[in-house]
Amino acid sequence: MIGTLGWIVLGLPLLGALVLMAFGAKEPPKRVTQLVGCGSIGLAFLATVVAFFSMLSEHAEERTHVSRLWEWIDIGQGLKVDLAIRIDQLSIMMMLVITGVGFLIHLYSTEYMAHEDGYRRFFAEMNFFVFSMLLLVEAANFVFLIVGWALVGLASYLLIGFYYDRPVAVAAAKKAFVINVLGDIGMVIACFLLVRELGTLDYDQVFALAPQFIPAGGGVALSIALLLFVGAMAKSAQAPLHTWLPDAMEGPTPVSALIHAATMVTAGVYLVVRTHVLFELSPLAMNIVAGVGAFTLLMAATIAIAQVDIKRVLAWSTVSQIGYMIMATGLGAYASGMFHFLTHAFFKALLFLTAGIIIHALHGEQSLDKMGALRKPLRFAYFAFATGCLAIAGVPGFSGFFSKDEIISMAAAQGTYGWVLFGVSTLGAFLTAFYMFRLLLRVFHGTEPEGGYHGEFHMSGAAMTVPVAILTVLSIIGGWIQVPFGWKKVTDWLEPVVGGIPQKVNADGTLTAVGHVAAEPSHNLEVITISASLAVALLGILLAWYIFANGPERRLRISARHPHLRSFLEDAWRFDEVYDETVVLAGRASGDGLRDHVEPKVVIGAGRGVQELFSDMARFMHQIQSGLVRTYAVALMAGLAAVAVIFILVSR
Amino acid sequence: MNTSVLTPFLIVSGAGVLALLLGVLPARRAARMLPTATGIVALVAAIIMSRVQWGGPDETALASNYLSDRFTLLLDSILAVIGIAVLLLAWRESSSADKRGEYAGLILLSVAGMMLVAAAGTTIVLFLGIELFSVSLYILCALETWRSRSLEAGLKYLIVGAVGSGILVYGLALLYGATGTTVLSEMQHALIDGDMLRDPLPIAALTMIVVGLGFKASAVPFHMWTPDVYDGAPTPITAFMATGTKVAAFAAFIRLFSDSLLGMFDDWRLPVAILAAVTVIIGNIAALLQPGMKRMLAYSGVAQAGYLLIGIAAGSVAGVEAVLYYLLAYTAMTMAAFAVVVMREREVLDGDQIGALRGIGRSRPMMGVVLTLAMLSLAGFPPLAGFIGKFMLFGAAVDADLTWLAIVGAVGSMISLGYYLKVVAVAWQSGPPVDDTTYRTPRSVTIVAVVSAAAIVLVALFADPLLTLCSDAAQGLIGTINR
Repeated sequence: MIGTLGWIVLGLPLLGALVLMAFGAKEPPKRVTQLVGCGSIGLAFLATVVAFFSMLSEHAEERTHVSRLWEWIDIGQGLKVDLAIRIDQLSIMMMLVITGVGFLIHLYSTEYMAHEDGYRRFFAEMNFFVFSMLLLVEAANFVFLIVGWALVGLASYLLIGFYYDRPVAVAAAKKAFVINVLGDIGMVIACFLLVRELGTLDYDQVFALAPQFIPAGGGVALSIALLLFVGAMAKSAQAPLHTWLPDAMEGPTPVSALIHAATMVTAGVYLVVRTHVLFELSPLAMNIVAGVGAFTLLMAATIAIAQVDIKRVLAWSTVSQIGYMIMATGLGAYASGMFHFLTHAFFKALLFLTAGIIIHALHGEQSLDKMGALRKPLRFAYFAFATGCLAIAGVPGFSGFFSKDEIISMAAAQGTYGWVLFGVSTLGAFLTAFYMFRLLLRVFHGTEPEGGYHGEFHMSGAAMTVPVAILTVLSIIGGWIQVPFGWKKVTDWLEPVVGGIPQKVNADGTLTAVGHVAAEPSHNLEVITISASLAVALLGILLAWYIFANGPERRLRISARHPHLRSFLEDAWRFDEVYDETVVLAGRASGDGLRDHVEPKVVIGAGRGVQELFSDMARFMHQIQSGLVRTYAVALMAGLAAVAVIFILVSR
Repeated sequence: MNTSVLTPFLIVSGAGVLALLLGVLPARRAARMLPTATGIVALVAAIIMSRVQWGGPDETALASNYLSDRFTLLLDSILAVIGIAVLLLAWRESSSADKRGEYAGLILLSVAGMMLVAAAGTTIVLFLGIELFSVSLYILCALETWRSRSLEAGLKYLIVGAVGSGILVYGLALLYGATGTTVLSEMQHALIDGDMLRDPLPIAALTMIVVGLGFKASAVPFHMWTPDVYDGAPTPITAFMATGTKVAAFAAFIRLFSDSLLGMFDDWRLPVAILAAVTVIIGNIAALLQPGMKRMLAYSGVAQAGYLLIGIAAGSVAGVEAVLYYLLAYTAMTMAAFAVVVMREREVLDGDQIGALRGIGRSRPMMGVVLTLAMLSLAGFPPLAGFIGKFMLFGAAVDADLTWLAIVGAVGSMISLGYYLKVVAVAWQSGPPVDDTTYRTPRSVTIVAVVSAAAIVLVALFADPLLTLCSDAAQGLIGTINR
C-alpha cells in the first residue's frame, strides 16, 4: 500500500510535466496550466501525507517498504538493477518537504510568474524538477539515485536558464551544470568501485555487505566515501565546488526558493545520511566531510556580509546553512543534520518567497542600495521576513534555534576535533545573526534610498501571501518537534535508518563494530553550548542594529576603513577568479590550440567573408588538398611509430 | 561443412550485384525504385535468416574461413538494420536520383563486406571484408560527381585509406609469419607451440594491426581523415560510415584481440588503453569547436570510438559484452542524429550547420525530441541507452584494473556535454526560424528518425534481454580459448 502510494507520488508530477509539455508551442489558458501544475504537486503531497500516517501506525522496525516495478538489468556476474523505490523514514521525510514546500511554492508562482512569457514552460519544468527530486530520494539503488541526481541537475539547468535571452542567466546555468556533472562523475566512479567490491548496487545489499567486505579504514573505503562526497559537494554547493549556487540566483525567485534553497541543494546531505554506512567505514572521510562543512559554513557566512543583492545574500546564507548540515553528518549526527534540513526548508523558503514579494513590489529591484525603510509600506513582508531572520539567527522559540543549536552541541561533544568545529560553528552563528539582521535592517529600517521610490508599490495578492503566511507559521513552530532536554521526535523517527553501528561478522561468528555512533552531549555541556550560541546570536543582532538601524552613515564609515577586506568578501573570496585563471583558461587555451593547429582550414573559413572564401576556394583547394592528405599520411605514420614505441616499452 | 550458414552474406552480396544490374534498366521508374526495393527486401531476408540460425550450434563454412556463431549473427542483424536505414535515408537523395543502381548496389556490397569481417575465420577473409566495404565506400563518398567536396572526400579517403590498409595487411602478414597460419582459432596454439609469445615478431604484427584497425575505427591519431570525409560525403553515406564502419572495425578488433590474440593480452592491453584514452580526450575537445553538424558528429564519432576501445582494453567477457551493447546504442543514436541532419540539409541552404537547427524543436516538436534524445544519449545522460552502455564499458574497465581509464572516459563524457547540449539548446531556442522551403521531407527520412529515437529509448528500457544477447555472443567468442 505504501509502496503503491510511493509510485503515485512519483508519477503525478511526471504526469503533470508531460501534460504541460504536450501543449507544444500552443500556450494553453493560464487556468489550465495552474490547475495541472499545482494540482499534480498538491495531490502528490496528499498521497505522501496518507503514506506518512499509515507509516505512523506501523511498528518502527517495519517501516521500510521496497516496491519493485520490474527488473531492468541483470547480467551474469550478479549485477542486478531493478526499477524499484524504497519508502522508509528518511525518504518519507524528504518527500513531505519536497511535495509540501513544493506545493506552496508552485502556488506562489501562479501569481509571481503571471507576467512572464513561458508560463506553461515554467510549470512544466518545475513539475519535472519535483519528479526528478522525488526519484532521487525514492530510489532503492544507486543507479536510480544517479538517474535522479542527473535529472535534478538538468531541471536546475533549465530553470536557472529560464530567462534564456539573458546571457548572464545562460552562463550561470552552464556553470551550474558543469560543476554538477563533475559531481556526477564522482558518484558514478564510486558506483563502479561498489560493483567491483560488492557486485551490487542495491541499497539493502550494499549496506549489508559493505562492512563485511570493505576493510574499515582502508583505501577503498576512503575512495568510495570521498567520491560519493564529491557528488554531495557539487550538488550541495560545498567549498570548493560552491561557486555555481550564487550565480544560480539568475533564475526566477520561486526556483531559487524550491531548488536552490529548500530541496535540491540539500540532496548532498541526504546522500551522506543515506549512505552513512559507507562513510562510517572510513573515519578519515567522516572527518573530511565535517571539515569541509565547517569551512564552508564559515566562509559563506563572511561572504554574505558584503553582498548587496538581496538574493545573493540569501544564496550565500544557504551555502552556509548547508555547511552546518554537512558538518553534522560528518560528525555522525545524522538526525541533527536532517532536522536542520527540515527547519531550513521552512525558513529559507520563507525568506526567498518574501524576498520575491519585495522584488515584486519594487518592480524587479534586487539591490540593497535601492531599498530601505520599507517597514511601513510592506508590513506583511516585514513580519514574514523578520520571522525568517529570527529563525535562521537561532533566537529561542523559533525553529532554527532548536536545529542549529543541536548541531553545535553535538560538535562540542566529539572530542578535540569537535571543539574546533564547535568554535567555527559558533563563530558562524554570530555571523549568521549579523548578516541576516543587516539584510533585514537595510531593507526595512533606516532611511529611504536616495531619490526615494518611483511609482506605486506592486502589491501581492493572496496566491503569494498565503504560502508565505503558512511558511511563517511553520518557521516558528517547526522546531518544536525536537527540543533540548525535552523530546527528540526526529531522532527517534530516523533511529531505525541511521541509528546503530555497522557491524562486521568475524570468522568465529562474533561481531565487531566498525565506525562509531556520535556521542550525545551531556546536559551540562548542552547548557553551556546553548548559552554560548545564544550569546553570540544576540551579539550579532546587536552589532547589526548598531551599524545598520539608522541610515547608511555608520556602515559607509566602517566599510571605507577596510576596502580590501570588503572587496575580498564581495568577490566571494575570489574563487571564481582562481578557477578562471587555472581551469577555464587552460581549457580554453588547449581548445584554441587544437583549432589553430589541427584545424587550419576551419580557421581560414571562419576568418574570412564568404565571398572572399569562394574566390579563394579554387586556389586554396589545390594547395590544401594535397597538403592535407600528406599531413594525414604523416600523422598516420607518426602514430604508427608512437604505438610501436608503446608496444616496445610494454613488452620489455 | 554447412553452406546454409552463409545465407545472410550471400543474400546481401547477391542483392548488391542485382541492384547494380537493375539500375541500368531502360524504364526510368523501374530503375529508380527497384534497386532500393531489392536492397530492403534482401536485408530483411538477411535479418530473418540470422534470426532463424540464432541458438543453433556454432558452425564453420568454407574450410573455417567463415564462422557462423552468435557473434556473427548478432552483428549481421545490426549491419542489415543499418543498411535498411541508410537506404531509406538515401531515398530521393539528389545524387541517387540518376545513380540509384550504383547507390543501392554499393551500399549492399559494403554491408556484405562488413558482414564478412564479422564472420571472418581467417585473417585473409578479414582483410577481404575490410577491403570490400572500404572500396565500396570510396566510390560512395565520391558519388556526387558534380560536387567538388564529394570528389575530394572520396579521393582523400582512398589515398589515406590505402595507407591504412597497407599497414593492416602488413601486420597480418607478419602475424602469418609468426604463427604459420591464417586461421584465427589456431593462432593461440601456434604462438605457444612456436614459443613466439615473447618474440618481437608478433609484437610488430600487433603494432601494425592496432594502427590499421585504429584507422578504420577513427582512433586518434589515425582519425584525421574522418572530419573531411564525413563532411564531404553525401550525408546518408556519412551516416553509413559513422555506424557501419564503426561496427565492422570493432568486429575486427574483437575477432582479433578479444579472441585469437587474447594470449598476448599483457602486451596489447596498455597500448590499446592509451589509444582509447587519447582518442576520448582529443575527440571530445576537438568536437567542442565545430560549427557544422557533420564535422561535430565526426569528432564525436572519434570520441565514441575511444569509449568502445575502453571495452576492448578490458579484455574480458564483460568488456566485449559492453562493446556490443554500446554498438547497438551508438548505432541508434548516431542514426537518429544523422536523420535530422539529412532532413535539414535538404530543406535549407547550409543545412548541415548547427545554426540551421535553430528552433526546430518549436516548429517541429517531433524532430526536436528525436534530436534531443540522440544528443542526450550520445552524451551519456542517464537513463538513456548511451548511459547504460558507458556505464557497462567503464565498469568493465574498473573490473580489469583500468580505473584510470574509466576516469578518463567519464571526464571525456563530461566534456562532451559541452557540444551535445549546445545542439539541444539551439534546437529549442526561439528566434527567427530558419524558414522551410516548399520541400516536403520524404516520409522515409521521418521514419528512420523516429524509429531510431524510439530505439534509443527501447535499447535502454530492454537493457536486460539485449545484454543477455550480447553476453551470449561474447561468451561464445572468449569461451573458445581459455586464458
